[in-house]
Amino acid sequence: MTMFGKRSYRFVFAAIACATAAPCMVTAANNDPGAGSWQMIVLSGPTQIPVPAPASVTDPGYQAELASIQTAQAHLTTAQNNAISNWSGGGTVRWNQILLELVASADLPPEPNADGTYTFPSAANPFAFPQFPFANPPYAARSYSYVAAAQYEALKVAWYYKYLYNRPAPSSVDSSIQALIPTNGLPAYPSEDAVESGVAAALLAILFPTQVNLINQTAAEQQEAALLSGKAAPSDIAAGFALGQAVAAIFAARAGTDGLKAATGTAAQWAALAAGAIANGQIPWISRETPPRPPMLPFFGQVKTWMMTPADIVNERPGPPPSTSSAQMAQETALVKYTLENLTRAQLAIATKWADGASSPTPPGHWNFIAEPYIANAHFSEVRAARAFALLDMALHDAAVACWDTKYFYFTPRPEQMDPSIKTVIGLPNFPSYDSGHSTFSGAATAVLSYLFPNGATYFNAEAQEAAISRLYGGIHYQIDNDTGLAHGTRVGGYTLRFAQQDGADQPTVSAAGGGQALDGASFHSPVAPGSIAAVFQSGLAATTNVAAAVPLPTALNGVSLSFGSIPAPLFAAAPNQANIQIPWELQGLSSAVLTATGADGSNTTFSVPLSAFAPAIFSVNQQGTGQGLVTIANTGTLAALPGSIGGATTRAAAKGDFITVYCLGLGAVNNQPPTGAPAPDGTSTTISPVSVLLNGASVPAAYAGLAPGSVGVYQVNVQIPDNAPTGNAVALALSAGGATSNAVTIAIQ
Amino acid sequence: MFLCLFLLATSVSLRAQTIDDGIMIPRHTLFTGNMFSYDSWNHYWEGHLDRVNGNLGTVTTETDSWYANYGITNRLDFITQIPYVWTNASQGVLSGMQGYQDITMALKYNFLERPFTKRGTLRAFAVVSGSIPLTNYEPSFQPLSIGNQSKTISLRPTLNFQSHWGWFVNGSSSYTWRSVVALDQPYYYTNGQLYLTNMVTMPEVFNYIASAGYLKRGKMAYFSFSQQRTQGGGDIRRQDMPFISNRINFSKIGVNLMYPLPIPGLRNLAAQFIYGYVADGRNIGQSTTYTTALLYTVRFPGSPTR
Repeated sequence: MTMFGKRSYRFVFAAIACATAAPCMVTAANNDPGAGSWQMIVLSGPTQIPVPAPASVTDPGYQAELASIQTAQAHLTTAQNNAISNWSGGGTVRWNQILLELVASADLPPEPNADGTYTFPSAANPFAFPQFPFANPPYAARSYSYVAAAQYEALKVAWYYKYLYNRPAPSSVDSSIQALIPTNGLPAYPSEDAVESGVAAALLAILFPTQVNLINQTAAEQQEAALLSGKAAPSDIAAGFALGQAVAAIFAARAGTDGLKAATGTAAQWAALAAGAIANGQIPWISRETPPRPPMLPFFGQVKTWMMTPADIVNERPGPPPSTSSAQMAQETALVKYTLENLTRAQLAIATKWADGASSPTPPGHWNFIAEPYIANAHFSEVRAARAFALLDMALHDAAVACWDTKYFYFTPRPEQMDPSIKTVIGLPNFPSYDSGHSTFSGAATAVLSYLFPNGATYFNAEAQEAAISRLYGGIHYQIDNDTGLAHGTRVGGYTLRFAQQDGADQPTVSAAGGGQALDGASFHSPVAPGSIAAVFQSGLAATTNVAAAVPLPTALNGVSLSFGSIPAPLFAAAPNQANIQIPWELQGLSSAVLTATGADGSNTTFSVPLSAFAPAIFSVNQQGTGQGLVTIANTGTLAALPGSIGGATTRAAAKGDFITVYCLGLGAVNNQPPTGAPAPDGTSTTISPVSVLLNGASVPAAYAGLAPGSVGVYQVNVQIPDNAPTGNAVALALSAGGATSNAVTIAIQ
Repeated sequence: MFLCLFLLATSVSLRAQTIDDGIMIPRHTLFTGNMFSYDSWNHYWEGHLDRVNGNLGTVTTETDSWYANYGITNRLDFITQIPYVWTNASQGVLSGMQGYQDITMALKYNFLERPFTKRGTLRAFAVVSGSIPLTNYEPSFQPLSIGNQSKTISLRPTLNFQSHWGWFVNGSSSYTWRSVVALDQPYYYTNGQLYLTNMVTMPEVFNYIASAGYLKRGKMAYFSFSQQRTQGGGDIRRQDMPFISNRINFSKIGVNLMYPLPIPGLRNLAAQFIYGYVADGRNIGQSTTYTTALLYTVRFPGSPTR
């Protein structure tokens, strides 16, 4: 019997599996299947927003949706191809870029009236001049944070339902639908693109009402791109959009009562601020514009924050600046004048780079701009990219609140007010000096970004230092404003940083929601079965990627080791954020075990891994357990797939009567069990429990089920296609063993 | 950026001496000297909206230039100009700026000269000119930057009729291409779009001038009307700062007087006075410009008038 011939097996793994499946390194982006259990910020949990179960992929309605995608893909217009291209780099990144533009377009102060007064923009009449809003730095910080936090929150909910329902993307269900944007096997229902556009359309229409047409067009384009690219069916999109809108409604309600409406204040309140400074023996800040302009959002310090309480804002408020009558203040003022009189061209360039005045994305936008390439290049899942923007923008918003609280608490004059002979080389902001907004924003942003992207920490810190001193070079801040602001911002950013450190996204804890980090290597679902392969996701594990060179597998790779108590787990590979291991055979019979992961730097992380005697899982070409399965015509290296459908692989549809070989994991105990870490010697390691193959749900008994000879932890199942088998390009194939059913992959049967 | 436009506008006056007129400096003759111009405005057009700005008051631009025009042949002149510029705003907190701006170099070729009717001579000229920033001045502190850091190249045809009695009419137009400008800031918003780059594409500029007056034996007096149309760029938005690639258009009137100074022993010295006024515009100050110049003629061996 040669059905499990070593030659064909090796060919498959050399040609396809080595690049795609567990025995080699799984290098695809982690889809973060556990994101549904990450800590919420505003919502109570993912089930606060109900998302009904989708129809089955065999449902005629869904099949009609697939047909409509297929038809649309056959006639893509240039505009549609552009839309797909626009969104192929990730929705959160693109929405962030659009938000930068919306802020810049609205970052214009009202012009004075003929009588020397100013009219405030009105949300009730946004199109009238001056148009609503004036997206000044606090308004911008708040806007960025609402959109980012709401998208992040909604995506966590989406991820919960994606992995609850596990409906594949149309391009995975139907191989005649092209994957014009890779899905990496992420379940499609509800569509993450629709979630993002649902949130953005609802919130941006409130934040930037004059731009509602652009916002709605953009939201529609994102959904169209998701559909046309084969990522999402209309029902995936409808569910996602509804989810996004529902989450946006909760955030919109919060925004309506977060204190912004009272942040402008009244003339009497402004006068009281000046009187308070005078009562403290200080020269009060006055507007240096002609005609004098009311102060910018003097009560923004009372707006609701994301990670701080009002008491935290007061506790983190810096001590007072030097008295306006002190010698120290005279020295601070003299330093500003001296700096301007001796300004170098390089210093002027720094002041200009960080001016971020009218028509700019503002300083919070500047930090989003700095963060964006890091987020875009990290190959994050959408939910993790959204987390990065949310953490950054929540910290920036809280920095705006904390800084504005400080500015109006002390009401300190700008240097030019203390010495009108000072002339600035950038615009002079119309609010008190102490402490510096740029510096506070930069300190907060650096705290968060350095945590998210440790490799960029040196750069972020240098940018923050430059942003701070740019305000001295520009002539608009005392040195003490900048120094105090940086430290203030770092403390404020610490609140978001501490949230990030324990929100579940960077921890290997296994949650009840099934978002385990020890996942089987075939389909990335927990629990895992002893003897099989698992991918362990853990950040900071190693500095580089190392792959085991030979069998038996090593128990350490360049300092990285994992063990269950005293039993070491053999390593296929260790990478910076992932290790692929074999779950030791010795753990059979246990329902869970404690895994200790030791990183190359000596750090230890311990977490619990749920175990099951049977955890069948089929390898797939996309490495994520969906779509075309790693199923060959037996004794050949030919995949049972539509001819030409998989680049670099020989494919043909399986014919009735053919034997096929299914590569898989988790079929339980075997006869003639090899030692942990050692390969199966021959075809005698057959499963003790019978295995059946499900073709479109119909059970077919396996001709052979057991370990794949020559490999560690991999099973193969051979089965003959019966004469009554369903035909098609994407016949669903699953395995059943020990009462457990595997993920469904597809094969082509003619 | 106002300034740039002003400079473009001002340059029209300065260059009116020779780049866009019907005068050729003869072979091996150098016509050189100093020009000083004083340009100021307190009204400006924000897009099409005429307004004042209490945070600027009156914006003044002073330009001191060394100017030279050398006759390579009787039909080909080389012209150059090096300006030093000071800017200032009378109100508000913004600092003025100063420095050497852009050197202009031009070749002017008289390719046609023939009697036309019995009354005078018809001449046609082609000018190719270019400018390069001399220093790394800051381009994005508009309207107080001294220039816009763009290299330019222009083509200019001119048609001139000079009568035997001294009166003349002159028409000239130019088309200018401008190089991309690198800003110090990493992004900018203009013309309804946020550009996530520091590189600014500068729109091309069309300009024409028509003039009529008297020129004989070194004495000159004429009126001029010029218009500029920038071939792209955005408007200044309400209460926004100007941007270097704005669509700067204007209509300008001018008066130009030149007289050889009757100083014994300095027969070759001439004084010039130029007045310019921007009568209508878009994204530019409603400026008045006064220019004075002292220009000396040096005749080298081979000069036909030596």
